[in-house]
Amino acid sequence: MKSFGLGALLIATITSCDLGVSNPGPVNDGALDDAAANDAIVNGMGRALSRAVGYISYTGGIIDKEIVASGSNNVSIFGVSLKQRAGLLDPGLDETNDHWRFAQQARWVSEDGVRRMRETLGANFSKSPLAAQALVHAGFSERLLGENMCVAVIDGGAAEPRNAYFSRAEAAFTEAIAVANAAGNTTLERAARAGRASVRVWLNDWTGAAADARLVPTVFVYQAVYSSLEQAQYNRVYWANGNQPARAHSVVGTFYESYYTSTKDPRTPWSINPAFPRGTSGNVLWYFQTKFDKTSSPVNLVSAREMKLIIAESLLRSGDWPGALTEINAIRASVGVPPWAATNVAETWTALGRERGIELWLEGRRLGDLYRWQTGKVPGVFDDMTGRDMCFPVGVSETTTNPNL
Amino acid sequence: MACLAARLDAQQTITGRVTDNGSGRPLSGVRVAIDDLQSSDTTRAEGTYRLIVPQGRASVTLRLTKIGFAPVRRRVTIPASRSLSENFELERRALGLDAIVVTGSAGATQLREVGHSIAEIRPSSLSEPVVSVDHLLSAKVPGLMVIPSTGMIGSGAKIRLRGSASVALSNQPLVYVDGVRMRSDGYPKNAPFNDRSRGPNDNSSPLNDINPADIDRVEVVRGPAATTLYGTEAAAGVIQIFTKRGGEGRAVWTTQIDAGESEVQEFGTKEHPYLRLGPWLRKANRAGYALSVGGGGDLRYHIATNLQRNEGVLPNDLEKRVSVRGNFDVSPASNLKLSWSSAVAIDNLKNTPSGPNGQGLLQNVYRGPANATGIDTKESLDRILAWDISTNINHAIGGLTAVWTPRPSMSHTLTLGYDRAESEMRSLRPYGFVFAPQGILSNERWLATTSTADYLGRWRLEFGRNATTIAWGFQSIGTDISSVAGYGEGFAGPSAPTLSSASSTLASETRTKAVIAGGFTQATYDWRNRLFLTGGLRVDGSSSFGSDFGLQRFPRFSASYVISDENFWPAALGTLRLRAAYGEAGRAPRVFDADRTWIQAGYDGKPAYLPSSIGNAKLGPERSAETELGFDLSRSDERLRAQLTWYRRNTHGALLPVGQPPSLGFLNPQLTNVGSIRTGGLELALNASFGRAGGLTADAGLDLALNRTKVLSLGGSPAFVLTEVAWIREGDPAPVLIGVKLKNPAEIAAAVLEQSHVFGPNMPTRIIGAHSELGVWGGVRLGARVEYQGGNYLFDNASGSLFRQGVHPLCTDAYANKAAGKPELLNAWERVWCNASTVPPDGPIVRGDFVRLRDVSVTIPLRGSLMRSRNASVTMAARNYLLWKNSELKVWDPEMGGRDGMDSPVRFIEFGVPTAAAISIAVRATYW
Repeated sequence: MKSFGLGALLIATITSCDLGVSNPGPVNDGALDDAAANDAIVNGMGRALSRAVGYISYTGGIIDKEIVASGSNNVSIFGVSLKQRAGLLDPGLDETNDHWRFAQQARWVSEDGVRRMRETLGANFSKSPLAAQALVHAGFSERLLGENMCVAVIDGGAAEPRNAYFSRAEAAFTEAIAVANAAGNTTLERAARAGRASVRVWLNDWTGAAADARLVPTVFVYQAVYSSLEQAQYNRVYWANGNQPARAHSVVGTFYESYYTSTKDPRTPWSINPAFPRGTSGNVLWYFQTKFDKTSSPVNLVSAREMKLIIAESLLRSGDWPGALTEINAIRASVGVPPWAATNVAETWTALGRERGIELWLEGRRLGDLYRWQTGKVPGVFDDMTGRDMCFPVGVSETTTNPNL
Repeated sequence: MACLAARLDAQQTITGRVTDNGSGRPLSGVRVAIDDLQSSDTTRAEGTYRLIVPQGRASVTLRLTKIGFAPVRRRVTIPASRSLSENFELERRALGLDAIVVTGSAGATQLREVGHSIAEIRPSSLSEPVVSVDHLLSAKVPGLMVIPSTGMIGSGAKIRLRGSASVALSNQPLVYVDGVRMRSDGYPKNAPFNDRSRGPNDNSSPLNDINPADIDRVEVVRGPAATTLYGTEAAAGVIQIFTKRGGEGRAVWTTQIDAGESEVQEFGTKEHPYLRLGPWLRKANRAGYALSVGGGGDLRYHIATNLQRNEGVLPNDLEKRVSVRGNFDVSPASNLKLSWSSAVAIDNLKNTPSGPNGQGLLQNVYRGPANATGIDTKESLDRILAWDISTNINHAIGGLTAVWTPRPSMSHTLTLGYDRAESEMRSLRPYGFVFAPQGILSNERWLATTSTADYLGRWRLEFGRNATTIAWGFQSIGTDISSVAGYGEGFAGPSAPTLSSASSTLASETRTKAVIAGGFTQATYDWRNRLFLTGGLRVDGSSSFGSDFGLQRFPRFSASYVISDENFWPAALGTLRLRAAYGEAGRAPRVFDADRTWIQAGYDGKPAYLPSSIGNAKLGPERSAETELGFDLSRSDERLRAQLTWYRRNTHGALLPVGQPPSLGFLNPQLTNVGSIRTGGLELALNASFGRAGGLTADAGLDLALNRTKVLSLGGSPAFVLTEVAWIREGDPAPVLIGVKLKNPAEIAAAVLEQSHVFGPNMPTRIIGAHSELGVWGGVRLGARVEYQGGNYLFDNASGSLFRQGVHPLCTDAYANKAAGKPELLNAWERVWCNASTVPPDGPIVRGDFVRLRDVSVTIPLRGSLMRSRNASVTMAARNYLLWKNSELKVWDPEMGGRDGMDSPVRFIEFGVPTAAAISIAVRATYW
């Protein structure tokens, strides 16, 4: 029985042993409820927003004819699916899903971070530059969704009209302006104001939009940041053409091909590589954009020139087409390209449409603009989107998991 | 010391030699045991054994067992000299119910007592020379499937027992070597941590670090009915490898020299028999040298070493492997036996960039004019070969087993073991590389250790002709996996760089530890040595369970009834054993799967948090409950033997990756115990010996395995895609392939397509293996082994890619007709697949059926004087030389794959090189 007792002792030893294992790496959720984590929380918002902007800029650019596909149709390697080439966005395709997923994560991360920071900062939230930065990220994340997604879904809730995104964005920007002011951070205050101008456009508050736009200095720009440190942080539009080995899209056949040839507008540059005349599909000439010329090229979220275009559109909507044309051509003069000619409202709308396309090229803004003008039935001639989608559908990743849809 | 010397002086010894009564040759590997002393030895190459008997025992009963031979039981009396010499002759008999098995039982147990099915492989009984553990396991046991991935050097195979056991977790079975848990999941791919497709796209297997020449036997138990005592991680089955041990006596030396050549068989079209890869393929040479010695006295030893140099069929592929093993046994007391097992393998691999890799050789060669270098010439594509991919694997495993038998009816066995698998993966795209002109270097140091502590106690209580055996034990398995990796790009010039030379660098570190600990108890009631009833319970805890989960309990019950031992059984009907078993086992979630976590990432050089997993506090292992029914039947002369097993396995709380709404921020699916999956099948093994006639002997065998899976429930979750066209859906196999089906392929007409057609299972549902061995005059043996797999479907992703690029050799005529303005000549198949702009993304999906001649061999014994040896033979063999595949699989090899690694429940055809056919010659000699 002594032996049996030894066995029993060993069993008792093992069953009482501590199975708790501490592993480094992933961080438990509770660790973020600490003011010391706020810097990294806000940086995470920035990274998520940059990724979402990169994905939507790339595929949105195919859908709205800013670029064309010249590579594979395997969407997992910068390819463009056959449907996307035809201007159609499929909620089931992984790539389309990623647009929804990444944009929604950028929104949730920002708003969840703001919630945590209100608790960890307490009264200091209202004058914290980090809080202002978080609110600015939240505003731009909401705007990205509003400008590109067909419907709004917030935190696992039911579908809502897409304006819900803009309302949340406006609220975030409004609070950001106040917090940035209190924190004495001029850059964030201007970014929030410019951001609010851009979402008031969608909320049909042209007075408010123009008022905000006029308060933004003429050389201001606020950008999504990318980094050469790792592929996940690369500028996706650049890297899809990095020739390592993807040569996935081309300017050939688009408006921007001939426009740049004739004007050399520095906002729409492209180039060729004689050693690789065609994209990786082998049958499309590879005229690659050079607006983003390195893995870390930033993408504008708002700029003073966009503010001028908002003022121009505001004037145009009020019937002052000459005033609008003056604003537009002032921008063109500032970048050294010839003015647009227009003799009436419709032609000025055409010029505005073209100018916003040039100014915001490959920044994930064009699809929303075309949708806004088409549904607003404004005069003028815009890119022909017949038979093409004008917004991203809710991804199947949401429709199959969200019980409220 | 004086006490010890006195005790040794008092010992009595029994020594002797065991031979085959047919050939007269010495028999190695015979277990010689003293019935009631828990004392045993195993004969060495010259057939000798040595046993120690405590003082005071005048007579003992010796029991000799060896698979393939009839057991012998003999009562012997020890003379006053305290030294007895006793020789034995064993009669061939392929199946013996008195054979000893270990795996799945509570220690060494007679086969007749075991209610579950168990299979055994002995390399010494195989006709063909074994080149790797993957090869040893292939086509030997019904229900054990070895799925090679590619023909690259260092490529490891997926191993599946009764199909895939899990949708979300590893499906590799647990592997034990001499009682010590060894890592069975693959080594990581050699590729930068930030871009895992940029490399050879294949995994090596730790199993292949074991020198097959060191293996004495392998036991395989295939499902939870047998693996309950292994607990939370054993649902995918258990493979236990027993390595050779030294026998007492003078040293026996064994040498083996082998050489061979391998080449890829044609897998393409008439015009492109290698689908454009021909200019890069070569005949690859293989050479191996093995030396082992075994023997000893009180300390017995088996020491072996093996050197190999293996070229691959791809230009950069080369393997240099060294392995050393040292096994030692000592009995410091008559009731204490210590066994030490250790092995080290060093494997240096050079590989060619392959797989679905835009910068790799194979994808670009197969794509021909659409290759990414932009120029379709060999010179242009050869630039890819400048990519230097080297992997250095160091694998060490060691274990100590102590068996203490304080009294004949009781034993305690303690095993402590440590497995250390390490890999350094370096990948250099040098300065000037075609796709990265400034160069890229990645280097990863990866280490996985597995610690084993295993205690087993047994106590046998006899009541007349009946008995009860009580067993109890505990196990603790600790795993620790860590990786440190660096990545750098942008070098100043072409000199050999280090990571420090790069203009920008990135680093990565991962570390995960997990502990599973559990105990079990089991009782077996033995009724007159013919009916055995067993009940047991295993209790486990794991560091990877959710905080609300607690301990897991896994019960087992089994019955084994040797009905032919009953008086009413007519002797003419031979031996029949009926068996039934029910058992449960699990598959534990991974570290972090239960936690709500964020990852620490960078944002332009600044620290950032990003959501990772939403967490599940109720996460536990998936539990599989399996029922087995079967019988073992043999004719009285054992020349005809049949084993049949029916099984059904229900996995409840199957861990499925349940998607989360992206609007809640966490994008990764969360493992959740929601699914229910049923697996069922039948396994049949038939073996026949046709006896000796005119100097000829003939043996033949047939194995059949049927396996079907069905997803019974997803717990309310929607169907989901595992990868591309492989789905998990209620009512379908797991996984099932769903995609576009062409209904009129041969018709010269518009294609009739059925979208979202449910093709069927991805994993084979029918496997038939046949083998035969013919003994002719002079001891020459001829062997052959053939295998059929089928009933499944494969996603030909490699062809899909070529179709989408408009460069598939199968479409040569169609492309020409289209270019000539004659599209009306195209049949429906060509209209779908040879039109690059409209190729469906969810195809082609083709039947997977094939038949392959796995092995053919001839072994010729050499006269000892020729080699100045006691025994010598030369074996010539060929592997994988013939393949018959179904007509839907027009190109490629049905066993190509490799992208998803060993864990994946999915197999696709991906860009790769098929497993090569090989011929070899081996000369083996034994000296003493």
